Amino acid sequence: MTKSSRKSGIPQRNMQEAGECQNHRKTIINPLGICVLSLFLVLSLAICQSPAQDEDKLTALSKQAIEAKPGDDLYAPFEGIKEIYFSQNKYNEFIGFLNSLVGKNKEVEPFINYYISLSRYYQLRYLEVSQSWNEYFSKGDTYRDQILSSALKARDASGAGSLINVYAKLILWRFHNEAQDNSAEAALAELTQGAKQLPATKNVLANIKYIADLLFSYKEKVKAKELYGIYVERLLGLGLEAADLKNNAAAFFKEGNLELAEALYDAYIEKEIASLPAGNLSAFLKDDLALIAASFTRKDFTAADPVYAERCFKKIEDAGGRGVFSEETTYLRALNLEKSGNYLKAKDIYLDLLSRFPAGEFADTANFKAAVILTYITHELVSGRSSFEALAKKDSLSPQAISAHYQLGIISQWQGDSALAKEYYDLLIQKAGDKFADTVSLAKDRLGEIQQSLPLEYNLKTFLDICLNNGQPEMALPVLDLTSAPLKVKNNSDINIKTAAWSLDSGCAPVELQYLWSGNLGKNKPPLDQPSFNTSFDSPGTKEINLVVIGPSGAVAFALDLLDIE
Amino acid sequence: MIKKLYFSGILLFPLLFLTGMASRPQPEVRIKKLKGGQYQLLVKEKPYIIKGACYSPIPIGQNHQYDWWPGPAKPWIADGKLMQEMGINTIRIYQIGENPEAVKQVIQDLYQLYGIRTILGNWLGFWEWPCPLYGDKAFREKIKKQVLNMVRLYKDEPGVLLWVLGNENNYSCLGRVNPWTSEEVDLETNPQKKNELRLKIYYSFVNELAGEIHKIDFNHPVALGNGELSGLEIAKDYAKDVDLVACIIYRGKTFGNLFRALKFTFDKPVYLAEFGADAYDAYLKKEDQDMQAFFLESQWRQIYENLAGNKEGIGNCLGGTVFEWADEWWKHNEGDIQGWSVHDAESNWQNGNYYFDNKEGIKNMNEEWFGIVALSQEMESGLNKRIPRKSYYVIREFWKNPALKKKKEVKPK
Repeated sequence: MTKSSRKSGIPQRNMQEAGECQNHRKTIINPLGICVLSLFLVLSLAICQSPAQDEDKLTALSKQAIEAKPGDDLYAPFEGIKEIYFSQNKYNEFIGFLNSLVGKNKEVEPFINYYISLSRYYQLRYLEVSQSWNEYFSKGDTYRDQILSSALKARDASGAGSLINVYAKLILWRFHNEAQDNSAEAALAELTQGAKQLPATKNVLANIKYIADLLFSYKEKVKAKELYGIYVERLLGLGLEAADLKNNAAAFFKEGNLELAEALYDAYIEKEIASLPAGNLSAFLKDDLALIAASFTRKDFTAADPVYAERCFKKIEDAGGRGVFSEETTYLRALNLEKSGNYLKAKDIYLDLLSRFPAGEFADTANFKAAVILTYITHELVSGRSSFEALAKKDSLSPQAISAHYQLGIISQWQGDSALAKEYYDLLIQKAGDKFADTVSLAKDRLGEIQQSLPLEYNLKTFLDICLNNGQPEMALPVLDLTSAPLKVKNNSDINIKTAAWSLDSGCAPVELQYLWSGNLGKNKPPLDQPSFNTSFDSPGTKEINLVVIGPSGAVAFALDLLDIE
Repeated sequence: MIKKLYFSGILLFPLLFLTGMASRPQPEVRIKKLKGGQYQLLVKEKPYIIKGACYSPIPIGQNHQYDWWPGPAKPWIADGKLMQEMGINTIRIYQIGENPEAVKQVIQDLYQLYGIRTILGNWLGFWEWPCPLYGDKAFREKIKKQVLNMVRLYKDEPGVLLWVLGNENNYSCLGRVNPWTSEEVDLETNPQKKNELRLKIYYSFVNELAGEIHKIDFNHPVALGNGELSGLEIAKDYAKDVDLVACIIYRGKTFGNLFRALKFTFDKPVYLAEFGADAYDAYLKKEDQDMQAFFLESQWRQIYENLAGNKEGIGNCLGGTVFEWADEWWKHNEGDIQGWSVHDAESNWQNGNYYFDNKEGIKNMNEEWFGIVALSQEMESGLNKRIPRKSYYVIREFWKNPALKKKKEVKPK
């Protein structure tokens, strides 16, 4: 039996041996020495397939645990032992080992209970993931009971402010939270309270962060932020310089922990603004803070928080006025607002750019985008039209100026003024020459409709009906988020455009949605049932993508996206 | 003397009145509100947990129009035995058959032979062509007549547990399934307000029905069948006379915050009228009884945690009827008659909460595989042979010993 166990792995044998060790402990003359020896045997059997160094490590860690004196750090050795067992999913064996420690050293009792609870918790998850259903169904209730009872024992036997106490509370919260039961709320409060009681030492900081990260991953954002706040507070308490704060923030940003990065950046910005001489403030705002803001705007391949980016931009504006912003930063700010759906503010910043840099690099783009937002999102058709007209009248022949002609054409066509629409389309084709193929092609399509007395293309008309009927009920339709990837794309390169997840709760009877795409869709014309599509564009410029989503009882949402094709 | 009589009269009248009140029997089935705002279902004054299944015993090769009620095969006899052995005490029927005698026979057989009670429902015209016109008086009268007729016919059957009005009809008010309108709704131009108006019209109608039922049937509660919790914030004001919510819900491993959310939206007891999981892995393309058993056990665990008296729960749950007792082979494509004889593995909808076979682009809710009992093409006593799936046994064991977490409150130390 023992031999076969050695070959096959470990299994129940360890549990039995651990139990035996426990039963006989009263007769042992030199308990500590013999227990270390027997532990070695248990471990050898348990980890027989692991490398020899694992066995050595286990023996050393176990000795450390058993011989621990009050005040010793037991968390580290137990974590080390846990890692070895968990890496092989040997939960029963770990519990066998833990049971073998019972009665050896009073100091380790809370740890034994905590790790029993933790093992059962991960074991249940493992059984589910690996679909080991026989054990799941036959032992599930026993394991659940052990998770709770052992965690409670660990919590009650450990002092408030100790790591093991907080981790016992963490497992209690995770258990209740996943069961969606009544105790989850109280368990969460107890956990965060416990984490706050942890000592303000450097080695505890990582644990606070770990718990905050975990809470964040469970979407407990408020509590996570609370703990991140404590983490930052403790970090500041360690006397970090502003530069260290900034470096730490950048490191967390890099690892994708934006919450913590933001908390540290906030502390850094506050510290800098408070301490900088007035003469240096402008440089800090223009260079340093603007860079931080820019790093949080949406980009390809990195995490982003457009809301935080705007908070930083706002801080710059509050401290130095809009004049501090360069044209490029102003455009970036407006783009960030536009992409995060804050159209009102985006329009405001685009117009600000236009007034401060009327001949600038981004002027036509800002003009076109402001006009689109005015016309289709904020339903200020008169102002929108004026903005398009101003752009169309410019001498420059930018893609946006050409597109402005097209927009004026479709607005006129939709309003029933085909003659005026034709004028705009003709002018567009004349000005474009052999450039701006996408827009010229669209203008020709519309001209064809006018010449044959056909109505506007159905998808486009539906979109215009919804957006141009100012004050009509359709305005109450939700605006959907449209995303495109990559954000920076050149002409003739592939780009993917998709709607944000949109579903209608309809029980067992699925709702069939229709997607009416219109605007400048490039080379692809997606069919009605496609919530996303790939396309590419022949020429650079700002391309407007329109969408109306139709449910069983009519339009349920609409969307608009503006792509910058380089 | 006159004074004495006068005083005696004054004293006697309330006494007689109170005596009369006291002697009035309690309803056969009632919901008791307990301390702390919890709810408990009582049948003949004894606590009753609804441990049930939705019942629609359509044989292989037939569709939902098949009238199994008067059928010579009497599927409920074989099914009732299996149900009793499993621990089922209730079945839910969506809509009764046309022959009252046949319906009574089913209710009586199940109750007398196996102690199984029946929940009777009515679609409230949800599937009427072209749509359920709840804003139309004639339509409402027609449905009302149907419902009250059902109540009059079966209210005295000892096996009846309660009435369920509608199923997921609230989705029709939100314009999602079988959308309908009315002159009043057409006048409203704001789409959100249109939805609200439709919900008000619909829930007012259900409320009217509940009131009428209470007038003629003292003994059974009336439930509002509702898809998820959608619209209940309106029902709170417009359907006050319903006794409970019969919720249709598919949220995977647990019901999430359903019980708590209901408490704060529409404080009525809830019975999970339709929930469950299918037994087909749409990703691996094979039957997976374990997967189904896993979800069902977890769902029943949460139902039990939220029954009255359990500190871990809200205490507003009365039980559930799992969807469903046996597979139905016609469901994938109703129009394909040949398909009624094929156990179709195609699905029409996707639900990410059922995560084992939820992959992008794969519809994972296999309508023909929701039975806790599978059907075989092999015939046995005139019926497709019933083959209990693993969930049958797992739930049976759970009901025998519904081991819940120990009732230890997490109190700050």
